[in-house]
Amino acid sequence: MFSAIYVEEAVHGTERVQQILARYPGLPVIPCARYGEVFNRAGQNFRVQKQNPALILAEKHGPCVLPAPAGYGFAAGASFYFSHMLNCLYDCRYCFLQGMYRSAHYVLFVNYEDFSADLQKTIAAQEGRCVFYSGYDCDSLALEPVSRFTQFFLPMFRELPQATLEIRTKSTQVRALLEMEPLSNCVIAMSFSSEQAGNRYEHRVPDLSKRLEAAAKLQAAGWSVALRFEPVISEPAVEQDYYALFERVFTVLDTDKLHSVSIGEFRMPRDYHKKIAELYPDEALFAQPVVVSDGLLSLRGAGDELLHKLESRLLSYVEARQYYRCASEDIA
Amino acid sequence: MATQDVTLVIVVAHSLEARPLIDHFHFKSVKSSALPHYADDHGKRLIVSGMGKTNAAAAVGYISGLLAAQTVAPGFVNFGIAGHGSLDLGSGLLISKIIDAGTEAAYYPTPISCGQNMAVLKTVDQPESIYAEDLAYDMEGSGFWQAASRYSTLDLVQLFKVVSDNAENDTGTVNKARIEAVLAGQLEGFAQLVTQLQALVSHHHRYHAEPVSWQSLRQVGHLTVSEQHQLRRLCQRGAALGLDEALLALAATPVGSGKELLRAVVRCVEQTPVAQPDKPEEFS
Repeated sequence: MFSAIYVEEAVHGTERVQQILARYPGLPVIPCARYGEVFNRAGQNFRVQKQNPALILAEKHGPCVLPAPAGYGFAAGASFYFSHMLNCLYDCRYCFLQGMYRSAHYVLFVNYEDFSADLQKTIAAQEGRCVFYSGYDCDSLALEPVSRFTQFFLPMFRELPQATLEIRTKSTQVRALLEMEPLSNCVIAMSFSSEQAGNRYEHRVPDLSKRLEAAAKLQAAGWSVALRFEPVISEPAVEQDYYALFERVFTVLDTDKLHSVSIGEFRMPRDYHKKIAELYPDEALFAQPVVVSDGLLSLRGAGDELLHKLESRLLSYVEARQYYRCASEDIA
Repeated sequence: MATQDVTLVIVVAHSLEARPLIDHFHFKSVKSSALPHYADDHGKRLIVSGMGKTNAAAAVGYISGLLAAQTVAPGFVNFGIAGHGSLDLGSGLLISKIIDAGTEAAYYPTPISCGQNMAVLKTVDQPESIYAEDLAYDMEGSGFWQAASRYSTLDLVQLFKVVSDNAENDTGTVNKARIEAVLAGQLEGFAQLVTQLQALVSHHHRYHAEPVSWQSLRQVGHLTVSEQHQLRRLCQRGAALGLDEALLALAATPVGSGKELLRAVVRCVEQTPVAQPDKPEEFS
């Protein structure tokens, strides 16, 4: 899974780091002063590195909780995100992280207690309800057996019912969730693309049927499950591909119990697109004609007409109150 | 990738370190070179830099200049002997971290899974005789790294060291026979690293190769340097979209100025319906 583990000297002695290192007794452990020495260097090649990524165990300095981008997520009002991890185990060709980071290594911030303190402080500062999104810079569950993210953070959210946590994932790592009592203020948001798009663009992602099975298990266990159909990539037969996906998904899942359902098209900041196109000059997705609006780039031929068609079909399965269109596409 | 492209440059400090590699990889001497310099028939070069980090950096710069016409830079690997604070003579080490003893700066080669033990390397200005720390000591590593990671993608730069001296057998005991013996024991391991690194570099070169249509279209009409860059990127996009044939057909059609050629290529790339792309090779 990893080629090596870098460990910041400041966190090497912590119990969490020692537990993680104990899982990988044969892997080289490389000490470093700060993760940026490895992660933020110029001259790296994300594509080459993605073939042999390493894990970096580090301490998050500065604010751990940040305001969510405008239009991100399902709730109006106070929305925030936090990232205990940078980069994703999966290798989705459309992912904006390829253009955002210089390195493909995975950074896991192990000072969960500082995240917890920042989360509690942020919640205390809100007058009403607030929402926290996890999975903006990573997949929240993919590394769960190593990170034990849910085992640390969910008990905290259980004590803070005025806050809702959305965990965004493509993973099937739901065992830890199934072993605990469901939280009414926690939403497991599973991202799906059409099977055709998944086969083409989503490398190392678990099979669609296995992810659906995981979502159904969560629902059956009482967890609140949400569906995120994004990014929709405009290409021949895209409508039929998504109609087939909807039919398959809503045959397996109980639509009445779904927390929310959203659609978002493939969009990303122009700078990220430029970097990714340089990394993948042979990738058709980044060679296609595009349109740019407000610094965000999308494929020509996509846009409202396609999304309206998909929305119409989606609304034949779910209630309008369950649906929203994702306005921001910076999603792993 | 053009067949003559060099994919990997091996840098050694001393001719005694070069000799087993010349024999193992069947390198042949390159004439009229300012530094001892060898080539094989499989895209590899070997250069003897001389001792010390400045010489190592200079050798990387020198050969990079010779290879400047390549579309994509080669990978680099530094091979040679090193002291070590605790390991036995003959131990082979892939370097995971380089510390420059003079500046205390640290550098991190990207880990590559090749079955070799990994170690931290400290590059010193004078031969180490105390072996105070439990790490490897050499005199070239940090200079090599700083130069090679400027000329190439740093993920394609590695260092492989073989322990030739330690606290029980210090640098004063190192001689030709010792060097030959310790290097001979690690040639297979080094060859595995070379194979793996060369495959990684070849893969990197392949997806940055000049598009077929670019070779033809650049000959059509006069293009400014800026227009050449635009045309190359358009040809890359065309290749990714499966439009090589359509673009090649343009090369056979008379066009006027470079600008007219560019307009025709833009029309072709922007207006042709996109076909379903194949899955990229690394995931098929």
